[in-house]
Formats: sequence, C-alpha cells, structure tokens
Amino acid sequence: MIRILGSSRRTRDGLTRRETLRAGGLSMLGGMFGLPQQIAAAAGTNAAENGRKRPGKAKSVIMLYLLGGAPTQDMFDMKPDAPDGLGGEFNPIASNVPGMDVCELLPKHAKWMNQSAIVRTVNHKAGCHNPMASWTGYPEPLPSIGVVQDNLPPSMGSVCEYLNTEQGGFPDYVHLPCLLGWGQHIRRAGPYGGFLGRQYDPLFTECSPTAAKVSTSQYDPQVVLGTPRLPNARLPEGITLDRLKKRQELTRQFDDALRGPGIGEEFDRVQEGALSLLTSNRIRNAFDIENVDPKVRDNYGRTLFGSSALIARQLVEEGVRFVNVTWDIFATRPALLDGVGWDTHSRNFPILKDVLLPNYDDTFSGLMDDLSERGLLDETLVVVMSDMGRTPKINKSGGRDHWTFCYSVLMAGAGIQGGTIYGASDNQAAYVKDAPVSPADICATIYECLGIDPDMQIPDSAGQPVRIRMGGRVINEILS
Amino acid sequence: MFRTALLAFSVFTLNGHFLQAEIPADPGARLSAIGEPVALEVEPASITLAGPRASQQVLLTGRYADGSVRDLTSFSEWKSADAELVDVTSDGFVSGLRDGASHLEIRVAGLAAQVPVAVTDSNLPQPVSFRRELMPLLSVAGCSDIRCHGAPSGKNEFRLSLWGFDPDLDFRQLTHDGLGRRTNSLDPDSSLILSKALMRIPHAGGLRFTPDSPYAALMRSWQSEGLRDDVGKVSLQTLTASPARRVLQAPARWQQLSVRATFDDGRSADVTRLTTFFSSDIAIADVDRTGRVEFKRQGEVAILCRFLGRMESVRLMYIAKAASDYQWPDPPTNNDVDTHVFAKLKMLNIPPSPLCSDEQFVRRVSLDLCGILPTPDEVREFVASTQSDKRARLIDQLLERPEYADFWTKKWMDVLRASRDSIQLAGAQAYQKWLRDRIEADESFASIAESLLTSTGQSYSDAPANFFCVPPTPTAITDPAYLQKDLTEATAQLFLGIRLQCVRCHDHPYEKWKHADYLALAAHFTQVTRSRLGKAGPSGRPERRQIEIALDFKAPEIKNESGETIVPRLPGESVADVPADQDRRQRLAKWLTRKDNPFFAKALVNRTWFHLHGRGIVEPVDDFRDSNPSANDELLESLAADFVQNGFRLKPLIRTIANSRTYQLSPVPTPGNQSDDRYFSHMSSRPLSAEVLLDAVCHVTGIPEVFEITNDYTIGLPEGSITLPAGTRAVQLPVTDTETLINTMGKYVRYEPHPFLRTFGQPSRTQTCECDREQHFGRKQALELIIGQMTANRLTSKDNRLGRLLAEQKSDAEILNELYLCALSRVPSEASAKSLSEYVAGSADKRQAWEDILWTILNSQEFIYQH
Repeated sequence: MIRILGSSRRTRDGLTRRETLRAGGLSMLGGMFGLPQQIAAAAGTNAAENGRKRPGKAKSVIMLYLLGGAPTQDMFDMKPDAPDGLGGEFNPIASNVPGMDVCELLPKHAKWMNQSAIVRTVNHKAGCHNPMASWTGYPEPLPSIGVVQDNLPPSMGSVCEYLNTEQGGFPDYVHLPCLLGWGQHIRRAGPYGGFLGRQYDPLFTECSPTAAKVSTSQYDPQVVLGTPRLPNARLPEGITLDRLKKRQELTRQFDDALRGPGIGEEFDRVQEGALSLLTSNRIRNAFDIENVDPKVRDNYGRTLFGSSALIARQLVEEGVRFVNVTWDIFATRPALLDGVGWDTHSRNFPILKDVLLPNYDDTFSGLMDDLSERGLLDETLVVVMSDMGRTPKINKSGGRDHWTFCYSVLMAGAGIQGGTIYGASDNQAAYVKDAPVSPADICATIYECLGIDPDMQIPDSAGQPVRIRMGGRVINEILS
Repeated sequence: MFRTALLAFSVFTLNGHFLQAEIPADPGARLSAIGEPVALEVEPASITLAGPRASQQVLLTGRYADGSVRDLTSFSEWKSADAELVDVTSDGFVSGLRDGASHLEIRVAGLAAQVPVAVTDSNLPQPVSFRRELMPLLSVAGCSDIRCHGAPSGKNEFRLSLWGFDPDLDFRQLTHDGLGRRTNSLDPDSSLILSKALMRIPHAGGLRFTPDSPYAALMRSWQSEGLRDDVGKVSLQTLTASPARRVLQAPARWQQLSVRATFDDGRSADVTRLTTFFSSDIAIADVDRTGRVEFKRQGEVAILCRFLGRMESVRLMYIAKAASDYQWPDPPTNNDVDTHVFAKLKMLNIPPSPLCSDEQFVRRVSLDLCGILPTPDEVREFVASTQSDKRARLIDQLLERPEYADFWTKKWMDVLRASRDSIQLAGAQAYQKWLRDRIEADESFASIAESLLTSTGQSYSDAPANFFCVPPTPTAITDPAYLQKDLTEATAQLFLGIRLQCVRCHDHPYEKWKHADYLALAAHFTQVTRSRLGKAGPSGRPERRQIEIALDFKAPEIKNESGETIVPRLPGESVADVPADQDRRQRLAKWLTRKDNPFFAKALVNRTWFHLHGRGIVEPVDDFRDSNPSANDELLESLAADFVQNGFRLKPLIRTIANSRTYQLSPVPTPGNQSDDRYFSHMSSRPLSAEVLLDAVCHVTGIPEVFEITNDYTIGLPEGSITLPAGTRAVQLPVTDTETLINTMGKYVRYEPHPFLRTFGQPSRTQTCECDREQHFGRKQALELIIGQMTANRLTSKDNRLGRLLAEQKSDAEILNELYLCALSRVPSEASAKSLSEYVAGSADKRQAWEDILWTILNSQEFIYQH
C-alpha cells in the first residue's frame, strides 16, 4: 500500500520519489495536506486555527549556513561607491537580473539571481555569533552561546520534525556535517529541539574533515575536505546487514511481556524506525555519494561543504523536510584547518578570494543546477544565511569585525519570487535604510513557504502555547 | 526573561467566553438530562436584591433517589410571581425592577419550589463603580485578555493591563489615552470603546456584547456619570463560588456556577456576571461567560473564578456512563493507599488491572527502590518462597541495602543542581556524601531541608552550603536580587511543590500567588552572601573556585518595582517583626518544616510517589496549583499525614506506597482501564532512567563500565583524572558532567556528560525541575542500543556473561534461563524457549547465535522499560 504522509514524497514502504511518480503521479497531491489535526490537539490550542490548511510551495528546505558571519556586503549587497574604501576590494558584476549585481567572485551565482530573492536588511540584537536568532527567530541574547539549553525555542527544522507524522521513522530534520561548533569544541546553540524536546533535535551527522595541510594561522585557512556520515548507521564490526535482519526477526519472535493489545505498539514503531535507518536503502542511498556522476560532484565542489550539500539534495529527494548544511569552523578539531571560517577579522579579502567565495560559489550553483535538473527546485527552498554580518569598516588587519545591524539573507527556489530585492541598506551597508527585517521574519517566511502556519502554536516547557513565528512577519513581498 | 514572557500566554480560548454552553433543545434529551428528581434545592433560599443593577444567579439542584445530585438550573421553568417587580431568565438569572417583595416559582419534573425575593433601593442613585464593576466587565468581555488589549503592548494602540491587575493604568488609558477619544461622557454611545465593543465600527476583536446587554448599560452609565474613578472606596473581603465541589454523572453534563462577593463595607452581592471564568482543561470541560460549565468527556477540572484580582476555584468531576457489562471488581485493599485509589477508580468506573506476578514485582521493586536488577538467585529465591508476606519482606530488605541510599541520593542531587560547573567535583562529592549519609540513616526530611536552607560555610567542606552555591552567576547582573529570587524559586519548586517563575514579574494570572508574596518570600534570603575563595582563574572562563556562604545582617533589602522596601513575610502568614540580627532563613525553615505547613509534606510525598509510579498524584510533580488539580486529593492528604506522623522519613513512606496493591498492579492495561493514564489503575511502563539502564546493561552483560572523572582545576588545564573504583555504578556518580573537553588552543575547556547517559536523557543538573531529565525512548535511543558501541562491545567481549556461561559448559536451556533471569527476572515462555533454542542449535557459530539472543533481550521493551 502506498500511504501518503506529511510529505508526499515519503511513502511508508520506502519507495523513492521517482518510484512513487511512476506509481501514479501521486506527488501531484503534494502540499495539499495541511497540518495534521492531532498536532493542533497536542499543542492544546485551537484546532481550527492551527489546522488551517496552507498551500506550501516548498516541500523541503536546504539551509546553507555560513557560520561566523559572512560579509554579505562583499557578496550580494555590494557598495562600490561607499566612502573611504568601505566598499571593499571586489567589484560587482551584473547578474541575470538587472540591478541585482553580485560580487565578481560569484560568477556562477550570478546566473541564479532570477530564481533568488535577497533580503538586504536583516538585523538583530541577539549578540555576536548567536545562531539561535537565525534558526529559531528568538530575538534575545543568550547567557552563553556555547550551551544548549532545553528551555529555548526550537529551530525551524525541529518544528518540521515535530510535525513528522511517521513516528520514529524516517527523519524530517538532518544537520550536516557535524554538531554545530564541533570543530571548535563548542556546542553552539541554535539548531535544536529546545523546549519541544530532544526528540526533535536534528539527526546530526559526523565527519572527519581533512585539508591539504594544517593551517599555519587562523587567518591562513585551508579548503576543508571530507564527507559527512551518519553516526550509529554503520554496523559494528562483525555485524552484517544479514545478521541485523536476523536479529530483527528474533525480536519479532521474542516473548516481550510489554507487547499486547494497547501496549508496546509505540515502542515497536520507534525501534522499527531506527532499524529501518540501518536496513533500508533510503538513508544509505542518500549518504552514498560515491556513485554520483563525477561531473555532478565536481559541480558541487569536492569539499566538505560541497559533499554536504550534495547529500542534502539526496536527503531532500528521499523526503527529508529540513536539512542544514553548515559551513562549520574547524579550528581545534581535528586540527587547525580552516581557521576562522567566515569570521574574517583579519585578511578578509584574501580569504574570501582564495577560499570562501569560490568554494561557496561552486557549491551554491552546483546545488541549484542539480535541483533544477531533477525538477526539485520548484519544491525545494534554498536559504543562505549567517549568524550575523560584518562591519563596513575594514580594520587594521584588513578584516571586518562583528556586525548585527544590517546584513543580507538569500532565499531561492520554491515559493520565492525570483529576482526580488527586499529592503535597502545605506550607502555602506552599515544600517537599514528601508524595511528592516528580523531573523524571526525570515523564519516566518520560511514556515510560510513550507506551508506551515507561522501562527501555529506549540507548547513551551511549561506547557504554555507559543507561536512558532516568534513575533516574526512573513515577507510576502518576496514570495511568488 | 524569555521563559517569563512565554508564560504570560494564555491557554484559554477567547471564543470560549462568548460561546454558550449548549443545553439540549430536544425534549427527549432534556427529559433524560432531568431524570426523576425526588427533591429540589434552591440556592440561595431567599434573595435580596439591594440597589440598582443588583442581580442574582440562582442555582437549582435536583436530589435523586440514589443520593446523586444534578444541576437543573437550565432545565427548569422559571417564573416571576410579579413580573413588574422581578425579572428572571430561563436559566435562573434574577434582576430587580422595582422595590417590593415577591417570589419566584420554579417547576421541573413535576416538582416545584418557591424562592422569596425582596427588592430594595432599586432607584437609589448609585454611580457605576469603576473598580468594582467596570474593571471586571473589561475582563469578562475579553478586552483585557492577553491576546487582546491586555497584551504587553496592547492591540491596535490600545493597551489595558492584563486581566485588569492595574486599574490606575486602565483608568488613564480609558480616559486620557488616544487624546481621550476612547470615552465620551456627553455621548457614551459615540465613544470608541462602546462603538468598538458593539462592532458599530470595525473591531478586530469582533462583537463583545450586544447593545441591550447589561454590559453595554454599565459602560454607558459609567461614561455618562462623568468617567469617575473610585479609588480606595471599596475592597473585596471574600469571594465564594458555588458549588465548591460536585460530581456530575451522565447524562447530566452541565453545571451552572454562581459567585458571591462581600466587601469591606459589609455589603454582599452576587457577582456571577462580573466574574471571569476559566476551565483548567478545555479538552474536558468548557465554561461560558455566564458561568455555565459543559463537560465534553469524563474527567476532572478546576473552574477558576476571577473577580477583582481574587481567584477562587471550584472542582467539578464528570463521570460518563459505564459500559453495560461493567462491574466493579472490588479488589482487596492492602492499606490506605488502595482505599483512596480504589475509591476514585470505583467512582470513575475504571477497573484496576490484576496484581502483577512475583517475577514482575521483584524486578519492579528492586529497580524502583535500589535502581538495580535482582540477580538470578534473588529472583529464584523470591519466586520460590511460600511466605505470605514475602513482598513486604522484600521491600524491607531492599530499603536497608546501600544501593537504596545511592539511588535516592542521586534523585535529589539531580534537582539540587549538583553540577560541576557550579560547585566543582569537590563540592559535588561533599554534597553527595552528606546527603547520602542522611538518606541512609533515614533522617527526617524536614531536618534535611532545614540544614540546606540555613547552612553557611565553605562549599567543599560544609556540604549543605552548596544549596546556596548552585545558582548560576549571570555574567551581567542587572537585578540586584538575582540570587534571592533564584533561591526563592528553587525553594518553592523543591519544597513547596510550586513553580513561582511567573510570579517573578507579575501576579499569577490564574493563581492566588501574588508578585508581592514572591518578593516577601525572597526577602528571607537577603542576608545571604556568596564569595569565591582563593585566586581567580583567567577571565572569560567559568569560575572554578570554592565558594563561601555567609550572612550579612546589614545587607540591603530587596525593593519592588516602585522602590519600596520589601518586608519578609511567609505565604499565608502576616508580617512579623524579625530582629535585625536574626537569620531570616531560620524563620523560613521553621515555617516550612512545621507539621501543619500546607505545602511541604504534600510536595515531598508527591515527589516520592512520582519516583515510584512514573507520574505524580499532582503532575507535573512540582506544579501544585488550583488550576492543576491532583488526581486524588484524599490519597495525597492521607500520605502527607502519614509522612508527618512518621517524622518526615522517606522509608516509611516508600514502604507504605510499595506495599499497596496499587503499586503492585500489573502494567498491562485491561480494556476497561486502557485509556487511563492518571488514576493509577495499572502500573505505568516507562523507560529506565539513563543511569539505571547503563547499570542494567553492565549487569546483564557482566562487563561493568569504568568511569573516569577529570580532576578539578582553577587555572590552566585539569591535572589528570580519577578513575572511580571498579564496580562503581552510574547512579553513584557524583556529577553528571564527567568528561572534560579541552580546546587545543587552550582557550576553552568544558565538561561533557557520559555519551550513553546523555543519550538516554540524564539531566544537566542545572534546574530544580524533574523535567530536566528527558525520559524518552526515540530513534536516537533505539539506535544506541541496536548498534551503539557501549552495548556492541559488551556483547562481543570474550569474558562477558555469555563467555562465562559457555565456558562453564552450561546447557542451552540453562544459558537461556540465566539470561532471561538476569535481564527480565523471569524464565522464557515455552514457545520462546523452543524457538530460541532452535535458533542456537541451527547456527553454525554458537557464540554468535547467543550474542544475537542477548542482543534481542537488551533491545526488548521489557528490558529497556520499568514496568
């Protein structure tokens, strides 16, 4: 039986999307399923309000997260005429949308601006290097950005996982390539389930990044290579898939005293879901990039970021609703590889030119090409964002420092009115000139694209209902 | 803070107020709801309506032959004997029209009743009271609701105080805000508030009441009388809601409430229509604006009635019809626990499950009391014993084992916030040892609480002083009373069973607790000072030094938002003079541990019950409040009384609970109690806690875990680590954050929990809340046991239990029995024994086959769960 669940591409018996299409074009039903009724009941709120059906355009989101604070004035909000050289060292080039110029180091990117919207006025007061704001919309500073607190709001992906109707089964939220901050021995707040509970944390992958050589200094970054892998998805030594299936068979024969009418069903579902991650091909296929056409791999770039984005595309194809692809910073673990990531306090321009922008350009356009070729771009939203922006002022070391007062976020693909610019920054991209946008507004917009009512209420740790929009407003102006 | 802001959101739907609880119109349904009453009872028995606008909600109750009662208020014929004098609606709402005496005639089901009515002063000029009438009206009509103008920033530029807790503000807002256009004393009907409320001009909040309603009349009169405030004129003395408690039975799903207020000028008046009602659980019952409750399904609710900032609650229960073949099984009772639990179950037509087997019991009670699995020998001996009191004997034996003290110490350390980040390993070890000694000796919990609350000294040596060391130090202190407030909330949550976090900023919107009560309680901690000993570590790192707690009798007092000094006062007590050189905490501790303290014993009893049943009698376990009714008041009171009687000792309490039949019920639900997860009709099955699970995996595989804990350090890097003695169990760990992660650049050092324990929800010990522990079995947890290193390595280890049994050349049946007894405290069923033995016999590699079987056992719900 083919059962259409929350995502039209996910079917209970593990058929892939293409198979489903062959099975009768069922994905045409996609997006018509509103929020399941029981969610509204679970949140203890007004079912009529919560269950409002929405025609979401995007079925999935791939979030390209540039940790450290990307200098968006050197990328999509260039100010060549800024006074005193604050505009930076790079020149803008024309994109395929008049007036939407991008940096000369993003030539491939330039070809996708007709599918992209740029919000140029994102700003927040949540403090530096605080990814909570961008992943959850929570506007306040944290006591410590290196501590994951369970009483804070959930990330957008966790909300998707919360709405995942296939209990214990295939995940709806994956975070690549490692725990956020792992490369610096920090557990950074942000992409977690928060007060919804840890069961809505993303499925985190692990990685063993490498580089051509260990950097000599933080500001002499290397290109980070590697491939994310799933923890506990590799069978331990001596356990073949056959043996695991045998064990699963034994489990079914086992005389569990807690199995019977009205008892034990949920446990079995959870366990089978976990086992299916190991035994079904879906997750393995999604993580297998060895068999991908080498040209496609080259397109993404054979970096850790590139292979993460490729896996993200495969996960989305398998029906995962929210995938974070983070450009993490590997400064202390496994060694000093890419130093500061996007946190370019020194040598901003050489680092952007040699490492960050070309690799980002490859991965972004590789992903967009791939999504487009597979017909997934009209159902996948791609978001590019950072925890903050960088100062207009260039410091003594040629770097740009922390800046939360104005920066850009790019959204492309499903649900987005391509070729739009929202808001305007001043002549040095320092402050908002027109139409300020908060991270919560971005979150609300992403929810809207996904067909999740931004007004949906979820219970906080005290059981009180909270709206997932966190006070954010949907930016309808950039939606198609 | 964020948490507080979130707490301000309302759970109650605004629409609920405006909806009318639906009384059936169909005559057949009405007749069935009325039934055959044998007598009628009217409340009040006589009515006096004094003054203009005086009204009375009359309640009509039918008495039935079987002793039950039904509310017939909305099902009766109401007639005023003199319609010129008195008006009465079809649901018993009476208003006076002209001075004089008359009576009401009420008829239902062939019975009749009469109520005398006296109307006086109906023409007395009496201006509308802003405080006593208009403010409640704004709340009843929903204007000052959190989602409307009561939101912190108001709505559409019109802001009122939430539920009217600040009448001064609201008066200003109504009369002066928006250039005074909201109100109009010359032409009230053109005022903005009335035009909006009546939807004469667009209003996002919709129609709040109709033009001919008493609400509209009030709003009109108050304006035409000159927009006057009557500050300080009256204050509320008492508020009574009726009926205070009632049990409704199908098909009678409705209950009208009435609310009466007395004021300090001696007047008493019915204020039902000026009272704002809330249901504690709208999934079970709704209440409309007139105070009529309608149940949707079987269950219990508290209906909160708020008038002039005062909150009273009534408790209502509705029992649906039992299935036709239902019969109360009348199980025997072992003690008072059963008497109360079964009384409630009987009332609710929920049959309890049968008694659990001996095998289930020995596993359950060993895990619950000591956190360990019984050995195969212990199981065999217990099951074989023919003593009639063998369960009671086992309980007594377990309570004397050292594992009991380890386990119950850990439970308390979890909520006493014994984390490394706050008190270091040295502090945590001292704290753990101190508490363990007391729990082992079964010292009075009153004296433990007293020692904690009144301690001073250095955190590594004066163990109880750690109670004052654990609150985090915020990087930038903006609130000078931060420590006092944290300690107040911790004390309330741990020892009063109350969450005061909401009250930190404002009066509790649904509770009796006031912001002023909170501050007055916090004032007991003003003398506490904390200082760090020794040389400071590098800046930018967490503080890792010993802390000294002392008293400063000259410490500045806490001030409220208006800058007034707060005088210490205990909940429910009047202000007492405390000499300046007296430790105020002593006073708090004395009050807390008094035998008649209304909170302490109940809070502790409930927490203990929670540990043994997986669910509190009040749930969440530390959230006692009127709007969160307990599952069984009598049970809670009886256990609390016993607890006090037994000198606040845990062991007698645990003994009583564990010896009850209720505790010994089967975890398997029957068709009749399957949907019950509240009244203890069967034992709840739940995942083992992280530490107990790890210990159990070690026990069954026979490969203990070796725990290493990094040493304390102040500066630089930690100097090595200590390895805990072989055989140390996870429940004995002094801290949950054992492993130290060191940033190679030497800039950042942090602690991490044991990965297996963290996966299974071990708390971070940063909160005084049991909710910090995440007891959840999901994909991540399942995977950890399916292929995680912690179990995989133990399965394949050559000298594990399998290795030993195989080396001893035991038969397949013996090995299988041993594994089952170890993990599940039972032998396999015949069918399983057969199929599993065949599996082994049919496998080429016998050892591998046994690993598969042990894997299956470790991945069974029966093993992973307590039941």
